[in-house]
Amino acid sequence: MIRRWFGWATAALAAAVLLSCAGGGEPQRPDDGGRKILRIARRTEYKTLDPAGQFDSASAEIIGNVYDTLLEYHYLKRPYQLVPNLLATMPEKQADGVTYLFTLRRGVRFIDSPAFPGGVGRELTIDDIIYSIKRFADAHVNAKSYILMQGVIVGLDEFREATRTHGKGMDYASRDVAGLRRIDDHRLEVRFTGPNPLALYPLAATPMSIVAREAVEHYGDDFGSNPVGTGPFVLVQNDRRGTVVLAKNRDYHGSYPSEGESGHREAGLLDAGGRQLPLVDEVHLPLIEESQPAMLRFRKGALDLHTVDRDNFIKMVERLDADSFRLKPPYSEYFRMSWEEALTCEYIAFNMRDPLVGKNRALRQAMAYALDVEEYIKIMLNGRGESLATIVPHPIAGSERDIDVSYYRYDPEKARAKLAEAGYPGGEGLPDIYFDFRSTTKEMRQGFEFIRYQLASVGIRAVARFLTFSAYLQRVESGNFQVGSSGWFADYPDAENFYQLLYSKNGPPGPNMSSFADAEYDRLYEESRFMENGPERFAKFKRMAEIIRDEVPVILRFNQLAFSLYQKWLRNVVGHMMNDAPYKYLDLEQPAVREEAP
Amino acid sequence: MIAAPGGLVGRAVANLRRRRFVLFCGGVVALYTLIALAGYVGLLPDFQERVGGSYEPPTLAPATILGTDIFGRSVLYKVLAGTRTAMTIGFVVTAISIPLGMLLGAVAGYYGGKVDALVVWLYSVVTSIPSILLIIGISYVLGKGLLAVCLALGLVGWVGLCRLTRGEVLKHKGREYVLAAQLLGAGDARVIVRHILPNVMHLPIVTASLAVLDAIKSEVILTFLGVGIQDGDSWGTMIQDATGELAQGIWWPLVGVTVAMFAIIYALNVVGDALRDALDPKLN
Repeated sequence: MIRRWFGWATAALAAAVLLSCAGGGEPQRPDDGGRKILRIARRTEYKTLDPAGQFDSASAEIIGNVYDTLLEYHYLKRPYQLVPNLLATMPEKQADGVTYLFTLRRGVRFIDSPAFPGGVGRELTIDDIIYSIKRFADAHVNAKSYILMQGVIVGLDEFREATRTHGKGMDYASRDVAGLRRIDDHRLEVRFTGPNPLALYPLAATPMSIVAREAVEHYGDDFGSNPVGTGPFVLVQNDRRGTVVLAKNRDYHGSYPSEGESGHREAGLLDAGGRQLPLVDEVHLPLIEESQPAMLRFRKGALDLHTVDRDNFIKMVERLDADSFRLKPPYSEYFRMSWEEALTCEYIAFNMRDPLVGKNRALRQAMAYALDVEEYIKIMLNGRGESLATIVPHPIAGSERDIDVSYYRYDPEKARAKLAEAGYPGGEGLPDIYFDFRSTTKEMRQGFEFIRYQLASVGIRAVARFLTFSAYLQRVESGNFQVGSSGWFADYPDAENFYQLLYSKNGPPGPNMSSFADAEYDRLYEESRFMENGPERFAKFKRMAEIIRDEVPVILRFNQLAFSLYQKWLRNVVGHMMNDAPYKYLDLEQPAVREEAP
Repeated sequence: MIAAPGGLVGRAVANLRRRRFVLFCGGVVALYTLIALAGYVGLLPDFQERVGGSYEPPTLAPATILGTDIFGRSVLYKVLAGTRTAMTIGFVVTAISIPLGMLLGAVAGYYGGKVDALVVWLYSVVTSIPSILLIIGISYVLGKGLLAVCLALGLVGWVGLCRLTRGEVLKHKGREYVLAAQLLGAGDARVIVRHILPNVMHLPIVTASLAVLDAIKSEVILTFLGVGIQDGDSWGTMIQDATGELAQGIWWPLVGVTVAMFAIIYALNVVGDALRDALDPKLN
């Protein structure tokens, strides 16, 4: 029996090895009879298609394509910048500096729906904007994303409290928001609580998508599965566990941008400039949860665009130098690749209240010198990352590309010297240091093995606790940890969103998990928070970056690069970190119509 | 039937010595045990040491005979360090589950009534929960690491032996030699320990060899699932790492660890079967 089992196991193993070595053939484009059908896999089920009820990327992927927001991020320009979407122009700042005039684009129509009289979609008006903002603030509708607008518009927080006390189903018309003043059908004045250049960012987030009152009332509790928007696509098949199908909204108001960055014209990214969006007829979004089956389908040609996970990256991509990559043959013949700097910062956070690491700056500095971030990027990320000298990811204004600041470079000798200065020469007498990790994946474990070896080589012993994400949050939010491996993804592309991670008033359970408190840092943060980007703001950032470097409440590590593979017949692919699903901009080569057999 | 442990063991040893392959497998188990002991006295090479570049294929040099892993560590050294972990878990879990199973089984079988009902209820509850889920649950409560895995596996692994022992003790407690001992005034503990248990000793011996095997397998599965050993010195973590490596054509870490695992599991199976053949009175 055992011998037979061994025989089968050996055969299976051999088959697996052979399969893994097999390259696979050229991808075949599906025959769609001349129509342009874009196919992209969904990785997880969406939660709801009610914009105000969601705050997860799987829901946002669909909502962002069937609804519209007032503003959106320019598809091609970097750094990321806001442009009008449902608005005709960017909001105009008024003389008082806190009031903005919003002018709506004319002629935008909701899609046809039984919610409207006669089943025909009507034109969007300013009342829909007011209704949607109020609905976004309704405590019974939006439990997740209100934080985006908290304290931003005059009177909106009070409105939210009123909905909370009123109970479900409040008539929004019965209560005004002081900061929203309707001028006419297409104009609205919005008064913010203070001069705040960040106030406009939430207007581009999917929870702030514009909905129609009739649709909300018509569908009631089913509104979350019956989207009625003004977006580039219409949901025609809603199979949550299967394939979601979006069809082109032929009345869509948006057009492809005519301007981009240098090199975009040569790359053909501006060929569609000025054309009405969307550019494809349909989008098919099958749910494929596992990465390997999705990659196999991509390689057969059944998916047009797919992200590359680490294991496939090693197999398919090679790094040429610091920031250039290419596909290995034969993949280079079949596919194209794009990559983009993610708006993330990975760091190791010290609990500054911890009696060992929190009170010994030289020890923290010793650890910063002991870790070889470049080597980590090379081995663990296969080059898919860039080391950081400030807490701000490179693509965001105010990062190390705008300010000149040095940071720790791997130097075991200096690490040993700092360790001796900390009172532990050669690590003698130093207790074990406990690292908490936010998941139990093998990547986390291997990441720790790397860190442990480097720390051990200078005399620091590290012990890991691998926790589930919720257990990890519980620990760091209660300040009950010594060292934590952490990261931050930009809520909006502004350096403030990263510097707030060490502002003393954001201590646990807030995002300042280190409980770092420095009076000068706090002052600089408060001064720079609502400033416009420019030399004056960057000078303050530079000093804050120096404080972070000298005090080491965190050891800065890297910002990752996100890679996508796409088929040769797909056009206009650009990595976009503020819009995961820019399907309206994507185009497919005109398919060759197959001749009928005689 | 008078208890005759010497006779039973003597017969078994004679039986086993005739079978060379069994002796060879016994040697494999002994070798793994020695490797584990060598690990505890610091004779094994440090698996954390870098011996080459990332993912170097096998060469003829001793350190890289099974190639290197992602960090350039020797796969052979990792397999040896994993051997220490696996054997430790195998023996510690057996040391927990076998006495527990024997004790509960003997007490339930001998006393019967409410004691029996309680023990039967207890093992029915334990067996009604899929064991892997129960072990994962216990691991979450106890935390992660070697001790937690040992306790979790030990606290689940006693059921089979408890059942068998209970059945055997039930059978034996009505026999004349037991009644004779009781009439001569022997206490319950003495009757169980001195008279009944020696007659059912083949059960724990056979079960133990299979329990070591089960524990090794379970540790690998648990660690693979992310609830077991949290460090690089486990076969489970090596297999977990290999899932992605195989897709890149890096086969040597998986081959190294599966061969090591296969050898000990196969050897324990053969030894366990042989022990049962040699010791089970029904088969003799």
